[in-house]
Amino acid sequence: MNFRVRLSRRVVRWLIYGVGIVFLVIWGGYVRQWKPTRVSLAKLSGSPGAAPSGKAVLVQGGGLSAVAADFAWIQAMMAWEQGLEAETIRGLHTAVLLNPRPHYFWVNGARILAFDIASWRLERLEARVRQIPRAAKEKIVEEQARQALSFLARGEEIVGQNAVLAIESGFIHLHARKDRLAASACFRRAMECGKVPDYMETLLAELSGQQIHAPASLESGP
Amino acid sequence: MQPSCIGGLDAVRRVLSVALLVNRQMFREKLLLGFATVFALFAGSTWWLKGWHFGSTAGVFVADVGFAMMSVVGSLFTVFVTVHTFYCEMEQRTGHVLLSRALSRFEFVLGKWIGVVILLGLFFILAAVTLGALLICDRLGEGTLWSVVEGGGRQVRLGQVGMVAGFQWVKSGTLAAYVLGVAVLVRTRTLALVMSFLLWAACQLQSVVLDSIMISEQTSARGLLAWVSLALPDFQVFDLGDWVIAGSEMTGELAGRIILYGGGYGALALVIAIGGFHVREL
Repeated sequence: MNFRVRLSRRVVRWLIYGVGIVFLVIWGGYVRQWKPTRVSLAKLSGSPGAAPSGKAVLVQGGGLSAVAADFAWIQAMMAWEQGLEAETIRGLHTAVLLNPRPHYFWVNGARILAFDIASWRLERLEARVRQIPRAAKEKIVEEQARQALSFLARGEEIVGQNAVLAIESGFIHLHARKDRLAASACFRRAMECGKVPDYMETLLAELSGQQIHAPASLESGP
Repeated sequence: MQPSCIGGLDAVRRVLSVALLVNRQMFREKLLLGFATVFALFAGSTWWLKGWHFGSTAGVFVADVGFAMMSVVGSLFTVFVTVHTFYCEMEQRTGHVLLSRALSRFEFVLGKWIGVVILLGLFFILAAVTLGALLICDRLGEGTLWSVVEGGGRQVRLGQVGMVAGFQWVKSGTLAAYVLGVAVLVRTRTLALVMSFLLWAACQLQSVVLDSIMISEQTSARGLLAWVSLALPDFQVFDLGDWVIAGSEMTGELAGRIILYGGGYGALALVIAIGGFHVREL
Protein backbone atom coordinates (compact mmCIF):
# COMPACT_ATOMS: atom_id res chain seq x y z
CA MET A 1 0.00 0.00 0.00
CA ASN A 2 1.22 3.46 -0.79
CA PHE A 3 0.55 6.10 1.85
CA ARG A 4 0.95 9.72 0.96
CA VAL A 5 0.60 12.36 3.60
CA ARG A 6 -0.28 15.81 2.30
CA LEU A 7 0.49 18.56 4.74
CA SER A 8 -0.94 22.03 4.44
CA ARG A 9 1.43 24.94 3.79
CA ARG A 10 0.80 26.25 7.29
CA VAL A 11 1.84 22.94 8.90
CA VAL A 12 4.95 22.76 6.70
CA ARG A 13 5.85 26.31 7.65
CA TRP A 14 5.55 25.60 11.37
CA LEU A 15 7.57 22.40 10.84
CA ILE A 16 10.32 24.41 9.14
CA TYR A 17 10.37 26.92 12.00
CA GLY A 18 10.30 24.17 14.65
CA VAL A 19 13.16 22.21 13.09
CA GLY A 20 15.05 25.46 12.52
CA ILE A 21 14.73 26.42 16.19
CA VAL A 22 16.02 22.99 17.20
CA PHE A 23 19.08 23.54 14.98
CA LEU A 24 19.54 27.02 16.48
CA VAL A 25 19.47 25.53 20.00
CA ILE A 26 22.04 22.90 18.96
CA TRP A 27 24.28 25.62 17.46
CA GLY A 28 23.77 27.76 20.58
CA GLY A 29 24.83 24.87 22.80
CA TYR A 30 27.91 24.26 20.65
CA VAL A 31 29.12 27.87 20.62
CA ARG A 32 28.14 28.71 24.20
CA GLN A 33 31.73 28.50 25.44
CA TRP A 34 32.96 30.79 22.65
CA LYS A 35 31.52 33.85 24.33
CA PRO A 36 34.20 36.12 25.82
CA THR A 37 34.23 36.21 29.61
CA ARG A 38 32.63 39.30 31.03
CA VAL A 39 32.20 40.71 34.50
CA SER A 40 28.78 39.36 35.41
CA LEU A 41 26.13 41.38 37.19
CA ALA A 42 25.76 38.52 39.66
CA LYS A 43 29.37 39.00 40.76
CA LEU A 44 29.11 42.77 40.82
CA SER A 45 25.94 42.78 42.89
CA GLY A 46 27.32 40.46 45.53
CA SER A 47 27.42 43.04 48.31
CA PRO A 48 24.46 44.38 50.30
CA GLY A 49 22.65 47.37 48.83
CA ALA A 50 24.04 46.69 45.37
CA ALA A 51 21.02 44.93 43.89
CA PRO A 52 20.46 46.59 40.52
CA SER A 53 17.19 48.39 39.88
CA GLY A 54 15.21 47.57 36.73
CA LYS A 55 16.46 50.75 35.11
CA ALA A 56 20.08 49.80 35.77
CA VAL A 57 19.59 46.39 34.17
CA LEU A 58 18.07 47.90 31.04
CA VAL A 59 20.86 50.39 30.58
CA GLN A 60 23.54 47.77 31.17
CA GLY A 61 21.95 45.71 28.42
CA GLY A 62 21.85 48.48 25.88
CA GLY A 63 25.16 50.23 26.36
CA LEU A 64 25.59 53.85 27.48
CA SER A 65 27.07 52.63 30.74
CA ALA A 66 29.19 55.76 31.32
CA VAL A 67 26.27 58.13 30.75
CA ALA A 68 23.91 56.06 32.91
CA ALA A 69 26.52 55.85 35.68
CA ASP A 70 26.95 59.63 35.59
CA PHE A 71 23.20 60.12 35.93
CA ALA A 72 23.12 57.64 38.82
CA TRP A 73 25.95 59.60 40.43
CA ILE A 74 24.08 62.90 39.98
CA GLN A 75 21.00 61.29 41.58
CA ALA A 76 23.16 60.09 44.46
CA MET A 77 24.55 63.60 44.91
CA MET A 78 21.05 65.09 44.91
CA ALA A 79 20.06 62.60 47.61
CA TRP A 80 23.31 63.41 49.47
CA GLU A 81 22.45 67.13 49.48
CA GLN A 82 19.14 66.32 51.14
CA GLY A 83 20.75 63.89 53.56
CA LEU A 84 18.78 60.87 52.30
CA GLU A 85 20.91 57.93 53.42
CA ALA A 86 19.22 55.02 51.62
CA GLU A 87 18.95 56.87 48.28
CA THR A 88 22.55 58.03 48.48
CA ILE A 89 23.86 54.51 49.12
CA ARG A 90 21.70 53.10 46.32
CA GLY A 91 22.97 55.78 43.93
CA LEU A 92 26.62 55.08 44.77
CA HIS A 93 26.19 51.36 44.23
CA THR A 94 24.26 51.86 40.98
CA ALA A 95 26.98 54.19 39.64
CA VAL A 96 29.78 51.68 40.28
CA LEU A 97 27.61 48.83 39.01
CA LEU A 98 27.03 50.61 35.70
CA ASN A 99 30.55 51.91 35.25
CA PRO A 100 33.08 50.38 37.64
CA ARG A 101 36.13 51.77 35.83
CA PRO A 102 36.54 55.31 37.21
CA HIS A 103 38.34 55.66 40.55
CA TYR A 104 36.31 58.81 41.14
CA PHE A 105 33.15 56.84 42.02
CA TRP A 106 34.98 54.45 44.36
CA VAL A 107 36.99 57.10 46.20
CA ASN A 108 34.18 59.62 46.66
CA GLY A 109 31.65 56.89 47.39
CA ALA A 110 33.89 55.52 50.15
CA ARG A 111 34.32 59.01 51.68
CA ILE A 112 30.54 59.49 51.74
CA LEU A 113 30.02 56.07 53.34
CA ALA A 114 32.74 56.56 55.95
CA PHE A 115 32.29 60.18 56.99
CA ASP A 116 29.03 61.74 55.77
CA ILE A 117 26.73 58.87 56.54
CA ALA A 118 28.38 58.34 59.93
CA SER A 119 27.79 62.02 60.67
CA TRP A 120 24.10 61.81 59.60
CA ARG A 121 23.56 58.75 61.77
CA LEU A 122 25.11 60.52 64.76
CA GLU A 123 22.96 63.60 64.15
CA ARG A 124 19.83 61.47 64.02
CA LEU A 125 20.84 59.76 67.25
CA GLU A 126 21.56 63.09 68.94
CA ALA A 127 18.08 64.26 68.03
CA ARG A 128 16.63 61.31 69.94
CA VAL A 129 19.10 60.93 72.84
CA ARG A 130 20.59 63.92 74.66
CA GLN A 131 23.83 62.24 75.79
CA ILE A 132 25.12 59.63 73.35
CA PRO A 133 27.43 57.12 75.03
CA ARG A 134 30.95 57.17 73.63
CA ALA A 135 30.72 53.45 72.80
CA ALA A 136 27.61 54.02 70.66
CA LYS A 137 29.36 56.80 68.75
CA GLU A 138 32.42 54.63 68.15
CA LYS A 139 30.22 51.77 67.01
CA ILE A 140 28.54 53.91 64.34
CA VAL A 141 31.85 55.31 63.10
CA GLU A 142 33.36 51.82 63.00
CA GLU A 143 30.36 50.39 61.12
CA GLN A 144 30.51 53.11 58.46
CA ALA A 145 34.27 52.81 58.11
CA ARG A 146 33.89 49.05 57.60
CA GLN A 147 31.25 49.66 54.90
CA ALA A 148 33.55 52.11 53.13
CA LEU A 149 36.50 49.71 53.35
CA SER A 150 34.51 46.82 51.91
CA PHE A 151 33.27 49.18 49.15
CA LEU A 152 36.89 50.02 48.28
CA ALA A 153 37.89 46.34 48.49
CA ARG A 154 35.16 45.53 45.96
CA GLY A 155 36.53 48.31 43.76
CA GLU A 156 40.02 46.80 43.94
CA GLU A 157 38.54 43.40 43.06
CA ILE A 158 36.96 44.84 39.92
CA VAL A 159 39.47 47.43 38.66
CA GLY A 160 42.53 45.64 40.06
CA GLN A 161 44.89 46.66 42.84
CA ASN A 162 45.92 50.26 42.50
CA ALA A 163 47.51 53.04 44.53
CA VAL A 164 44.51 55.41 44.50
CA LEU A 165 42.10 52.98 46.18
CA ALA A 166 44.78 51.69 48.58
CA ILE A 167 45.61 55.25 49.71
CA GLU A 168 41.92 55.95 50.27
CA SER A 169 41.61 52.79 52.39
CA GLY A 170 44.61 54.03 54.38
CA PHE A 171 42.99 57.42 55.05
CA ILE A 172 39.77 55.76 56.19
CA HIS A 173 41.74 53.58 58.61
CA LEU A 174 43.63 56.65 59.79
CA HIS A 175 40.89 59.26 60.14
CA ALA A 176 37.75 57.22 60.81
CA ARG A 177 39.10 54.20 62.69
CA LYS A 178 42.26 55.89 64.11
CA ASP A 179 44.11 52.67 63.29
CA ARG A 180 47.65 53.80 62.41
CA LEU A 181 48.92 50.27 61.87
CA ALA A 182 46.25 49.33 59.31
CA ALA A 183 46.70 52.73 57.65
CA SER A 184 50.47 52.16 57.31
CA ALA A 185 49.84 48.74 55.77
CA CYS A 186 47.52 50.31 53.18
CA PHE A 187 49.98 53.09 52.32
CA ARG A 188 52.77 50.53 51.92
CA ARG A 189 50.52 48.51 49.63
CA ALA A 190 49.88 51.68 47.62
CA MET A 191 53.63 52.26 47.25
CA GLU A 192 54.06 48.73 45.95
CA CYS A 193 51.32 49.35 43.35
CA GLY A 194 53.21 52.10 41.56
CA LYS A 195 53.33 55.87 41.40
CA VAL A 196 52.13 57.55 44.61
CA PRO A 197 52.01 61.21 45.67
CA ASP A 198 55.22 62.71 47.13
CA TYR A 199 53.74 63.10 50.62
CA MET A 200 53.30 59.34 51.00
CA GLU A 201 56.84 58.67 52.30
CA THR A 202 56.60 61.51 54.81
CA LEU A 203 53.22 60.26 56.00
CA LEU A 204 54.51 56.71 56.41
CA ALA A 205 57.51 57.97 58.37
CA GLU A 206 55.22 60.02 60.64
CA LEU A 207 52.97 57.03 61.24
CA SER A 208 55.93 54.88 62.23
CA GLY A 209 57.06 57.58 64.71
CA GLN A 210 60.17 58.73 62.86
CA GLN A 211 61.56 62.26 63.00
CA ILE A 212 60.41 64.17 59.97
CA HIS A 213 62.65 66.65 58.20
CA ALA A 214 61.32 69.09 55.69
CA PRO A 215 62.74 68.65 52.19
CA ALA A 216 65.90 70.63 51.55
CA SER A 217 64.17 72.74 48.92
CA LEU A 218 61.73 74.03 51.56
CA GLU A 219 64.36 74.52 54.27
CA SER A 220 66.57 76.71 52.08
CA GLY A 221 63.67 79.10 51.45
CA PRO A 222 62.92 81.14 48.36
CA MET B 1 8.27 30.79 -14.97
CA GLN B 2 10.23 29.73 -11.90
CA PRO B 3 13.80 28.65 -12.55
CA SER B 4 14.17 24.91 -12.05
CA CYS B 5 17.71 25.05 -10.81
CA ILE B 6 19.30 27.51 -8.43
CA GLY B 7 22.95 28.22 -8.86
CA GLY B 8 25.48 29.52 -11.31
CA LEU B 9 26.41 33.02 -12.25
CA ASP B 10 22.89 33.92 -13.27
CA ALA B 11 21.63 33.18 -9.78
CA VAL B 12 24.37 35.36 -8.28
CA ARG B 13 23.46 38.14 -10.68
CA ARG B 14 19.79 37.90 -9.76
CA VAL B 15 20.58 37.93 -6.02
CA LEU B 16 22.77 41.00 -6.45
CA SER B 17 20.06 42.70 -8.52
CA VAL B 18 17.60 42.27 -5.65
CA ALA B 19 20.24 43.59 -3.23
CA LEU B 20 20.81 46.65 -5.41
CA LEU B 21 17.05 47.18 -5.69
CA VAL B 22 16.88 47.32 -1.89
CA ASN B 23 19.62 49.97 -1.83
CA ARG B 24 18.05 51.98 -4.66
CA GLN B 25 14.67 51.89 -2.94
CA MET B 26 16.10 53.11 0.37
CA PHE B 27 18.09 55.90 -1.27
CA ARG B 28 14.93 57.01 -3.12
CA GLU B 29 13.26 57.23 0.28
CA LYS B 30 15.88 59.75 1.49
CA LEU B 31 17.87 57.31 3.60
CA LEU B 32 21.03 59.42 3.31
CA LEU B 33 19.15 62.39 4.73
CA GLY B 34 18.07 60.16 7.63
CA PHE B 35 21.69 59.10 8.18
CA ALA B 36 22.86 62.71 8.13
CA THR B 37 20.19 63.69 10.70
CA VAL B 38 21.08 60.78 13.01
CA PHE B 39 24.81 61.49 12.91
CA ALA B 40 24.33 65.25 13.33
CA LEU B 41 22.12 64.61 16.38
CA PHE B 42 24.67 62.14 17.71
CA ALA B 43 27.60 64.51 17.27
CA GLY B 44 25.71 67.46 18.77
CA SER B 45 24.36 65.59 21.78
CA THR B 46 27.70 63.89 22.51
CA TRP B 47 29.55 67.20 22.35
CA TRP B 48 26.97 68.72 24.69
CA LEU B 49 27.11 65.78 27.10
CA LYS B 50 30.92 65.68 27.03
CA GLY B 51 31.25 67.90 30.07
CA TRP B 52 29.17 65.52 32.20
CA HIS B 53 31.89 62.94 32.64
CA PHE B 54 33.02 62.35 36.20
CA GLY B 55 35.49 59.54 36.40
CA SER B 56 36.53 58.78 32.83
CA THR B 57 38.34 61.13 30.49
CA ALA B 58 36.16 63.10 28.09
CA GLY B 59 37.47 61.00 25.19
CA VAL B 60 36.41 57.74 26.85
CA PHE B 61 33.02 59.27 27.59
CA VAL B 62 32.57 60.31 23.95
CA ALA B 63 33.60 56.82 22.79
CA ASP B 64 31.19 55.18 25.22
CA VAL B 65 28.26 57.26 23.95
CA GLY B 66 29.32 56.57 20.35
CA PHE B 67 29.55 52.82 20.86
CA ALA B 68 26.12 52.81 22.50
CA MET B 69 24.73 54.81 19.59
CA MET B 70 26.13 52.27 17.14
CA SER B 71 24.57 49.43 19.12
CA VAL B 72 21.12 50.88 19.76
CA VAL B 73 20.54 53.00 16.63
CA GLY B 74 22.16 50.32 14.45
CA SER B 75 19.75 47.68 15.77
CA LEU B 76 16.68 49.93 15.43
CA PHE B 77 17.75 50.81 11.89
CA THR B 78 18.20 47.11 11.06
CA VAL B 79 14.70 46.23 12.25
CA PHE B 80 13.03 49.15 10.43
CA VAL B 81 14.86 48.72 7.13
CA THR B 82 14.47 44.94 6.98
CA VAL B 83 10.74 44.97 7.73
CA HIS B 84 10.16 47.99 5.47
CA THR B 85 11.99 46.58 2.45
CA PHE B 86 10.23 43.21 2.73
CA TYR B 87 6.71 44.53 3.29
CA CYS B 88 6.99 47.22 0.61
CA GLU B 89 7.41 44.48 -1.98
CA MET B 90 4.57 42.44 -0.50
CA GLU B 91 2.10 45.32 -0.05
CA GLN B 92 2.77 47.02 -3.37
CA ARG B 93 2.78 43.64 -5.14
CA THR B 94 6.12 44.38 -6.79
CA GLY B 95 7.43 41.23 -5.11
CA HIS B 96 4.79 39.21 -6.97
CA VAL B 97 5.98 40.63 -10.28
CA LEU B 98 9.59 39.80 -9.44
CA LEU B 99 8.72 36.28 -8.34
CA SER B 100 6.61 35.60 -11.40
CA ARG B 101 9.70 36.22 -13.53
CA ALA B 102 12.98 34.36 -13.49
CA LEU B 103 13.61 34.81 -9.77
CA SER B 104 13.26 32.10 -7.14
CA ARG B 105 12.02 32.76 -3.62
CA PHE B 106 15.43 31.70 -2.31
CA GLU B 107 17.11 34.41 -4.42
CA PHE B 108 14.52 36.97 -3.36
CA VAL B 109 15.09 36.49 0.41
CA LEU B 110 18.88 36.16 0.06
CA GLY B 111 18.99 39.32 -2.11
CA LYS B 112 16.92 41.23 0.44
CA TRP B 113 19.30 40.18 3.23
CA ILE B 114 22.42 41.10 1.25
CA GLY B 115 20.87 44.46 0.36
CA VAL B 116 20.17 45.22 4.00
CA VAL B 117 23.69 44.13 5.00
CA ILE B 118 25.21 46.50 2.40
CA LEU B 119 23.11 49.38 3.78
CA LEU B 120 24.18 48.47 7.31
CA GLY B 121 27.81 48.49 6.19
CA LEU B 122 27.35 52.07 4.96
CA PHE B 123 25.67 53.02 8.25
CA PHE B 124 28.51 51.63 10.39
CA ILE B 125 31.23 53.15 8.20
CA LEU B 126 29.60 56.58 8.60
CA ALA B 127 29.10 55.98 12.35
CA ALA B 128 32.78 55.06 12.80
CA VAL B 129 33.90 58.09 10.78
CA THR B 130 31.68 60.42 12.86
CA LEU B 131 32.92 58.99 16.14
CA GLY B 132 36.54 59.06 14.94
CA ALA B 133 36.15 62.73 13.97
CA LEU B 134 34.67 63.54 17.40
CA LEU B 135 37.56 61.79 19.15
CA ILE B 136 40.13 63.66 17.02
CA CYS B 137 38.37 66.99 17.76
CA ASP B 138 38.39 66.16 21.49
CA ARG B 139 42.11 65.35 21.43
CA LEU B 140 42.91 68.48 19.42
CA GLY B 141 41.03 70.51 22.04
CA GLU B 142 42.92 68.81 24.86
CA GLY B 143 46.24 68.96 23.00
CA THR B 144 46.66 65.20 23.34
CA LEU B 145 46.35 64.12 19.73
CA TRP B 146 49.79 62.49 19.67
CA SER B 147 50.49 62.16 23.38
CA VAL B 148 49.41 59.89 26.21
CA VAL B 149 46.79 61.34 28.57
CA GLU B 150 48.26 62.21 31.94
CA GLY B 151 47.04 60.66 35.16
CA GLY B 152 46.59 57.18 33.77
CA GLY B 153 43.61 58.23 31.64
CA ARG B 154 42.90 55.81 28.83
CA GLN B 155 42.44 56.78 25.20
CA VAL B 156 40.43 54.90 22.65
CA ARG B 157 42.39 54.26 19.46
CA LEU B 158 40.78 54.98 16.12
CA GLY B 159 41.43 51.41 14.98
CA GLN B 160 39.40 50.19 17.94
CA VAL B 161 36.47 52.35 16.81
CA GLY B 162 36.59 50.59 13.44
CA MET B 163 36.77 47.20 15.15
CA VAL B 164 33.72 47.90 17.31
CA ALA B 165 31.81 49.12 14.23
CA GLY B 166 32.79 45.91 12.43
CA PHE B 167 31.42 43.70 15.20
CA GLN B 168 28.24 45.78 15.30
CA TRP B 169 27.89 45.13 11.57
CA VAL B 170 28.11 41.36 12.18
CA LYS B 171 25.52 41.70 14.95
CA SER B 172 23.16 43.69 12.74
CA GLY B 173 23.57 41.20 9.90
CA THR B 174 22.53 38.43 12.29
CA LEU B 175 19.60 40.50 13.52
CA ALA B 176 18.53 41.20 9.91
CA ALA B 177 18.37 37.44 9.25
CA TYR B 178 16.18 36.92 12.34
CA VAL B 179 13.94 39.85 11.37
CA LEU B 180 13.49 38.39 7.88
CA GLY B 181 12.44 35.11 9.53
CA VAL B 182 9.83 37.00 11.57
CA ALA B 183 8.66 39.09 8.59
CA VAL B 184 8.12 35.94 6.52
CA LEU B 185 6.18 34.24 9.33
CA VAL B 186 3.67 36.98 10.19
CA ARG B 187 1.16 38.65 7.88
CA THR B 188 1.27 42.33 8.80
CA ARG B 189 4.00 44.95 8.93
CA THR B 190 3.02 46.17 12.42
CA LEU B 191 3.14 42.70 13.93
CA ALA B 192 6.49 42.07 12.22
CA LEU B 193 7.89 45.31 13.68
CA VAL B 194 6.61 44.57 17.20
CA MET B 195 7.86 40.99 17.17
CA SER B 196 11.23 42.03 15.76
CA PHE B 197 11.70 44.62 18.50
CA LEU B 198 10.82 42.04 21.14
CA LEU B 199 13.29 39.64 19.56
CA TRP B 200 16.02 42.29 19.57
CA ALA B 201 15.29 43.10 23.23
CA ALA B 202 15.45 39.38 24.10
CA CYS B 203 18.83 39.02 22.36
CA GLN B 204 20.18 42.23 23.87
CA LEU B 205 19.11 41.52 27.44
CA GLN B 206 19.74 37.78 27.33
CA SER B 207 22.91 37.71 29.43
CA VAL B 208 21.51 40.19 31.97
CA VAL B 209 18.32 38.16 32.40
CA LEU B 210 20.27 34.90 32.67
CA ASP B 211 22.56 36.48 35.27
CA SER B 212 19.52 37.50 37.31
CA ILE B 213 17.93 34.06 36.99
CA MET B 214 21.13 32.32 38.03
CA ILE B 215 20.95 34.24 41.32
CA SER B 216 17.35 33.07 41.91
CA GLU B 217 16.44 29.80 43.59
CA GLN B 218 14.01 28.58 40.90
CA THR B 219 15.95 25.73 39.30
CA SER B 220 13.16 24.72 36.88
CA ALA B 221 12.91 28.26 35.44
CA ARG B 222 16.68 28.38 35.30
CA GLY B 223 17.00 25.22 33.18
CA LEU B 224 14.13 26.02 30.82
CA LEU B 225 15.25 29.58 30.16
CA ALA B 226 18.84 28.51 29.72
CA TRP B 227 17.73 26.09 26.97
CA VAL B 228 15.35 28.51 25.27
CA SER B 229 17.99 31.24 25.29
CA LEU B 230 20.31 29.07 23.21
CA ALA B 231 18.09 29.63 20.15
CA LEU B 232 18.88 33.35 20.26
CA PRO B 233 22.31 34.95 19.95
CA ASP B 234 23.57 36.94 22.93
CA PHE B 235 24.08 40.44 21.51
CA GLN B 236 26.25 41.47 24.44
CA VAL B 237 28.96 39.35 22.79
CA PHE B 238 29.16 41.91 19.97
CA ASP B 239 28.91 45.01 22.17
CA LEU B 240 32.64 45.32 22.67
CA GLY B 241 32.70 49.03 23.48
CA ASP B 242 33.06 48.38 27.22
CA TRP B 243 35.67 45.75 26.48
CA VAL B 244 37.75 48.21 24.45
CA ILE B 245 37.36 51.04 26.97
CA ALA B 246 38.39 48.71 29.81
CA GLY B 247 41.70 48.25 27.96
CA SER B 248 41.30 44.60 26.96
CA GLU B 249 43.13 43.59 23.81
CA MET B 250 41.30 41.80 21.02
CA THR B 251 43.06 38.73 19.68
CA GLY B 252 42.55 37.35 16.20
CA GLU B 253 41.25 34.09 17.64
CA LEU B 254 38.61 35.82 19.77
CA ALA B 255 37.54 38.02 16.85
CA GLY B 256 37.20 34.92 14.66
CA ARG B 257 35.12 33.13 17.29
CA ILE B 258 32.77 36.11 17.68
CA ILE B 259 32.30 36.41 13.91
CA LEU B 260 31.65 32.68 13.61
CA TYR B 261 29.24 32.86 16.57
CA GLY B 262 27.13 35.53 14.84
CA GLY B 263 27.64 34.05 11.39
CA GLY B 264 26.32 30.65 12.46
CA TYR B 265 23.20 32.09 14.05
CA GLY B 266 22.66 34.42 11.08
CA ALA B 267 23.07 31.63 8.50
CA LEU B 268 20.62 29.33 10.31
CA ALA B 269 18.07 32.13 10.74
CA LEU B 270 18.41 32.96 7.03
CA VAL B 271 17.82 29.31 6.08
CA ILE B 272 14.65 29.33 8.23
CA ALA B 273 13.50 32.58 6.58
CA ILE B 274 14.12 31.14 3.10
CA GLY B 275 12.31 27.90 3.99
CA GLY B 276 9.42 29.81 5.52
CA PHE B 277 9.10 32.09 2.48
CA HIS B 278 9.14 29.07 0.19
CA VAL B 279 5.84 27.82 1.63
CA ARG B 280 4.34 31.24 2.37
CA GLU B 281 1.14 32.17 0.52
CA LEU B 282 1.75 35.48 -1.22
